[in-house]
Amino acid sequence: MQPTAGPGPSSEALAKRSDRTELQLRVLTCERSLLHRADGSAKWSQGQTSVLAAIYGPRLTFAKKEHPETCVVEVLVRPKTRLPGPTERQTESLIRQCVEGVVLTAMHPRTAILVVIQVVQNDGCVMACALNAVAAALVDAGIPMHQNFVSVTSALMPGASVVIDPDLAEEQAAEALVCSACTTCRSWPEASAAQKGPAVLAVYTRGAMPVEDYLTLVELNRQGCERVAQFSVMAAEKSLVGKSR
Amino acid sequence: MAAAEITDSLEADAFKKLYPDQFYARFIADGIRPDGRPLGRARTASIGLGAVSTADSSALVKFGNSTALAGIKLEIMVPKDDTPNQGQLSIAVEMAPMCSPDMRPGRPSDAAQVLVEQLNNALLASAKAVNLDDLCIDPGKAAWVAYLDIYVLDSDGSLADVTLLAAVAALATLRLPHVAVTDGGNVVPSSEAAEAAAPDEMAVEPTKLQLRSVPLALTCGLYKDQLIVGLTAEEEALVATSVTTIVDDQGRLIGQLKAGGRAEMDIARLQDCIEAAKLRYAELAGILQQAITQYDGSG
Amino acid sequence: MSASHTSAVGKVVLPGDNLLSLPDQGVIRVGAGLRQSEGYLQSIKPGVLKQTKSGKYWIEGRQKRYIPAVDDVVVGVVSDRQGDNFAVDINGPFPAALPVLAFEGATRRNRPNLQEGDLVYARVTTAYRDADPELSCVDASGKSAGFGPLKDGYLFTCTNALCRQLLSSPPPAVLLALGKSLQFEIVVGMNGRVWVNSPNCATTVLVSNAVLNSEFLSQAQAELLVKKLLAQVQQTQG
Repeated sequence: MQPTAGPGPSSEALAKRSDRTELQLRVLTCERSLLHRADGSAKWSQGQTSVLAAIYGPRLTFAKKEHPETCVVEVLVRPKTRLPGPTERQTESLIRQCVEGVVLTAMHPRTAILVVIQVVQNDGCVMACALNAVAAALVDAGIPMHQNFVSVTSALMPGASVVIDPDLAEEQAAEALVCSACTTCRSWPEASAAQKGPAVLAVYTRGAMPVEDYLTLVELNRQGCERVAQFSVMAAEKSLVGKSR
Repeated sequence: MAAAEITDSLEADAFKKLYPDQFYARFIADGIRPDGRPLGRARTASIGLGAVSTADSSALVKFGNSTALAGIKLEIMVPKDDTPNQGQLSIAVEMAPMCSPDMRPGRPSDAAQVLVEQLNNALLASAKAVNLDDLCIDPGKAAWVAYLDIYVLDSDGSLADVTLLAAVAALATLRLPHVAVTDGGNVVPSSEAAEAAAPDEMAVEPTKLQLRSVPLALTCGLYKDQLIVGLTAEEEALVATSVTTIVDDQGRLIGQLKAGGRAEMDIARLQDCIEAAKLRYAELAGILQQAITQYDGSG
Repeated sequence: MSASHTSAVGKVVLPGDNLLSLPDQGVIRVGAGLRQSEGYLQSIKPGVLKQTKSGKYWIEGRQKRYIPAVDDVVVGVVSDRQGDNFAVDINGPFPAALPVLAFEGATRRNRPNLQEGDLVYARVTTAYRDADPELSCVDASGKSAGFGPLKDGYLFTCTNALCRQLLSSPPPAVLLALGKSLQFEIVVGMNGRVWVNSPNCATTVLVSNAVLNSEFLSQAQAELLVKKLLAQVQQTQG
């Protein structure tokens, strides 16, 4: 789907985006190795939304919690304000299962990996931003993974228009939101036969929508994930090959 | 002969305990599951309404061994200042210690909190099944708060499906008593207020809560590239990933949750899950309607 | 039979990257951070793909946590004494066990007196991923070969990439430059721990700073850095 000018003006009060088109992502930034004591850390920003993720591990854990054959993943999500509640538990559960899916847990039995996520600023797409921050922090910590993943959110607005990477105002006005995490596979020319597009690792929806619109949003997310993956690769290269301290 | 039979069943049990994955794979290769169901069939549901007489409405739902009991108690509250026309639906889920060896009494477990969030998402945020304006008695002065409590009594997989059906069944049979607000600001049952005014007026029947949408869920799993519908707890531990799809009576998608896992899916697979959920919906809606009709008929 | 070359050598690879499609027959020598998956050579760690002269592929990454490997030299901090072993923290997933008798000249009557917080320079003798690693302060023939407790000095942490650089031969430019003008002792552990000792504090601080900041610098830049730091110190002294 090529970025277009979008459908005609809707009768809703929500103004069309002033700084980008409907199918354009916000500015992405990624800072790695911010936290001195964590084994891996990353701060991922999408426009004004910003999430900090820290990884500690693989490290010792209580005998009750350890697993004899694999590494156990624990996730803690801290919102910007108020105490954590059921929404945070849902986010923790989603992120934990994503991380367990990509990390080679069999390489570090009897250990635990602790993932701590702090929402620094919320301007929409917090779940996607948190997933991206965790993926960047896992790369910073050098934990063995068999896939890398990125995440993006898109929204179905009133008037049946779709936007990608909505900000907070758009999220609140949306009829439905779909957040997906996709694994991306990069192949060098010698393994070009292995090239395949992003596959959906996780999906989280909010709001009711017709099935066709949902599938449109999922496909839009897949394409968005390809863009985010390109940025993520670029950011990782910079942090691994060096920047002066 | 008897000795050989005992040995066979002992060996099968031992094999299942030691190699659960291979045990399961053998069944799947033949297109069937250990409990005899084909891969695409979910467990039959049974719904018992009005199980708890002290609650304003209640429902006991079983999918095979998975059991959830939902109960609703109504109380009066003063509506919040920014929503003077709305009541409240407060959902709580508790996983009873008897439901699974991992559950101990005390703090609500993470699994219970995740179920609360999923139910809030499905019933209120996404499907808007309950219109909170319906719970208003007197704008700005009095409104109903419905405490929907769900107890998971036996945890054998597909908890999202069971708890959502129990919640929907309890909401569908909820009757809001007719009340009136007196001058002193108290809320009294309508019949009393009516008696005080005109003793020969007839008693008014309580009103049924109208559900704007009836969302129901189905959890499917992916095992070695086969889609398995309606998972038990053992299957949930063996599948590479699971997807919970919620559809409603208007054919809308209320939610789809694929929480990570070891396998990815492409869009065609997600579509398969939606189709399976729609088929299951037709089945469950029939059972629910039958149970409601029977319950209403019996008074 | 040598395998086909991959153009990814020298480039940054991320986990899940398919580097090379493996031929049906042949031998490819593979080191850390790589694995075979569905007929492709795949990376499982982020880093730069390198190839040794003998054609072995491996991934050089930067990691703070240490994953023990046999025959690595490490600098550890003693945390406890449990029976016949010292429990030593080597910045890995598990605390390591250092037998009390694994020191040169140690007998049941003559045990080394290591307290909590003491530093030891040891080598890893066993490292299974399920179990605690074991250390030893003697080499295979029973001589100390430089291993043992480290007295005084200053310990700082860094990434394992920097440690590999410091332990490479020929020695890196920063150490050569420092060694020309200063007198100091330095012990580098593969587990991200470096110990520096010298007669006066200023030298210790200078050496630590220079080493920590030299991770991404080229040879010329490292020499320049050392020159600047020395000039600064002379300025404050003179």
